[in-house]
Amino acid sequence: MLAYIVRRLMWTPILLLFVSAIVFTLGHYGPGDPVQIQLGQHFTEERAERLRESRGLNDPVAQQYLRFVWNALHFDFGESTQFQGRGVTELLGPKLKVSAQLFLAAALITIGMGVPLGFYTALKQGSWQDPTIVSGSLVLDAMPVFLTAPYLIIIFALKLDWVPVSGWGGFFSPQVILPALVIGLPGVAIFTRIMRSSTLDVLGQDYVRTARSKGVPEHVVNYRHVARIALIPILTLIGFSLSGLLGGAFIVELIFGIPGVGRFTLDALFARDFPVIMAVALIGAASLVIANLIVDIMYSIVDPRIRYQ
Amino acid sequence: MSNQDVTTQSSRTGNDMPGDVDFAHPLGIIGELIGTGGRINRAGYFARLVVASVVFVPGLLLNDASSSFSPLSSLAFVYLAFAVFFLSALIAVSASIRRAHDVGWHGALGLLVPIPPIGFLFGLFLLARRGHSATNSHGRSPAGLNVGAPISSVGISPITQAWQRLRRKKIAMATLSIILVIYAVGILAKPLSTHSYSQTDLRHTQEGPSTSHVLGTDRIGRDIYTRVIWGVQTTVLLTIITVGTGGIILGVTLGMVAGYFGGRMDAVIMRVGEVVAAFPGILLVILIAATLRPRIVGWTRDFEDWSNYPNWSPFGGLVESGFVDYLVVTIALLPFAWYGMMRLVRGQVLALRNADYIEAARAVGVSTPRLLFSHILPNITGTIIVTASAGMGAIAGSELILSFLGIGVQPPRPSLGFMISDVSGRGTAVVSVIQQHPEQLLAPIAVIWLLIFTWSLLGDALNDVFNPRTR
Repeated sequence: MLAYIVRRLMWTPILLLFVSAIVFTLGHYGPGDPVQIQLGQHFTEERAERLRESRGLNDPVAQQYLRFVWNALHFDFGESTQFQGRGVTELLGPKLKVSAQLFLAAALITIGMGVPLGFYTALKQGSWQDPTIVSGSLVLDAMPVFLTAPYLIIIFALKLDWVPVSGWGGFFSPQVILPALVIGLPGVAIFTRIMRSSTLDVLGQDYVRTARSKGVPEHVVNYRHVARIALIPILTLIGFSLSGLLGGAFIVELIFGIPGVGRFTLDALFARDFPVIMAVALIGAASLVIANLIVDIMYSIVDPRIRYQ
Repeated sequence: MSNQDVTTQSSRTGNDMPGDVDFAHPLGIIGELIGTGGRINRAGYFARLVVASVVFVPGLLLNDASSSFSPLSSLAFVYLAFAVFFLSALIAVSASIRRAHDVGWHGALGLLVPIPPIGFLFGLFLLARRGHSATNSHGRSPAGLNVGAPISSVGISPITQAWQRLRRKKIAMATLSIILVIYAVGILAKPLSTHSYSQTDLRHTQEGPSTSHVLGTDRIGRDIYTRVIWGVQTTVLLTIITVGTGGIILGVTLGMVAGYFGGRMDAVIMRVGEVVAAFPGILLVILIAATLRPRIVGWTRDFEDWSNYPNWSPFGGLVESGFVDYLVVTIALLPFAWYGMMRLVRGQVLALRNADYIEAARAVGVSTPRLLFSHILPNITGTIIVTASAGMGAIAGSELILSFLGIGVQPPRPSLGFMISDVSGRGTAVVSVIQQHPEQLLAPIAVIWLLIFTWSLLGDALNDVFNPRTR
């Protein structure tokens, strides 16, 4: 197990290096001349040359890439082309904080609803609740956020007046509930499904039958013998399945007027502010890789039955 | 397929039933499609009609595309389109001839099928009619699905078995028909539309549903119904192209190579896959679409200019035709599409690689490509179909987000995502729009919702059908 953890820890930086190479290549070769984009109508050959020189764009590509990686390691992603003279990090920092809080709230909703629902449907297998909940969660899964967001706003903000329509007030304000619900609901289906099948797997195990035949009360069997073990596969899927909610998060921030990364990235897209886009992609990928690393290591500790080759 | 495959397939079940005759035309797959001898059963007829319709589609697209190019090249497109139509008709007619044999009529009746109203009814009739269960003058009865004939699982291919199981699931058949209708509407957008998708009419803006505008008009007076079905076409084409190229061609090939050859090849493919999977899906898609769009547009313009010598080009108007948008979105969605498929196929191939019948085939001296494509591939079709159908909904959702953000398909060509962002102004205004003009938003949203939902239901049903153990 230790060997596995060490191998994972060694592979992660290499993986991140490849990821940064992709981001750099796309950002460097993709959009055309960044200087031309930045100068726009003020473009003259002389100015361009000065800017190129000052930003080190005349250096060999390898050197530029190494500088990109080195700076990224120090959380320096260059200057935004859209807001002259301001660093990407400085601009992105507060947005990242907002988005991270929103995403955390959404993840809590997804997991907090999906896991109990999946467990419940597995216990009720064969009754009418099972297919109803499973197909209901599929309906939610397919529902675009463009539909859930306005209707939740209309019901809870306009008709019932429980929460403000839009804006951002931090993790503990009631304003976080609606956007987090909109982002989180589609993911419920995934967790319901995984939890359901893993619970069904555990329910069929011999030791569960043994516990029942010993006369252990039903609720103790369910929660102590079944639920604990059934939760383990959920762990591995947290990283990947939550990253699927990101697309919804981008749009939800727009609809609810939340000053997060999604909104910022979109503005950057329209302004063709590629340093910002590259930074967002790199940070997103790095956090997913690290989250998966943590989850995998936890998994190998929590479930000693698993033997990695 | 040839006789050798039949032996392989039946060696799995240990019995050589006459049902396999259906898969063993002496001329191989081409003979299966355009040969006119022998008999086919109802399922075989249906399958061939599906193939004929699938062949028909690129013809329609070529025909549509012809109008957006310069006159001479459009002629070439029309010729190409007609060649495709002819091939499609050939498949349908030859299948009808063989089906007519099966129900005990003269084969020449199959020639009726391409004649518009009669042919359609006749085709349905052939589909519904029970085949002779015994041998008639045209040959033995093809085993399988004739109503009343005993259904035996011996000697029937896994695909046919899965189809039989799928047919008993009401939900699956309902979702399948909804999907087929949506795809048909998308492909037939041109004949089905009542207006032009980009024509504005400032005297009739923000109108509700009426007889001239079925779903009303948007803020600059464009017909919403027309725009929705053209948007559906965009989604439909992009899902097919992306899952077809990324999932099926790229994913399956790489998965088979990685699983079968193993070693360094496997390591490289898997590591590349891990790097791609390290990105949260939509971020990579946005990054690629945003950074590569200007480049690809530039290249295409260069290509147009280059091919425009002296002043005529068969490729004129490539950028205007919307080709570039499709290319950009497909390239952006590709990395998203191939990785999952590759991993699943690789796992299956790893499990099959040392199976007895593969060993046997290798011992007989079957070449490696043949081993991969006609001995291993048919046995992993189930996985491929399940994964592809699960991918369709995800691709449709990502395309929606890309177009909503304005980096997908560009106006004037409609896409559902752009329609939503156009109406809602990419922000809180979505609430007032949905209160005042709900049809403007609900029309595109309902379609995409239905599409994603039916794909996920169908994916579930297919999973049950192909992997009965994991239920």
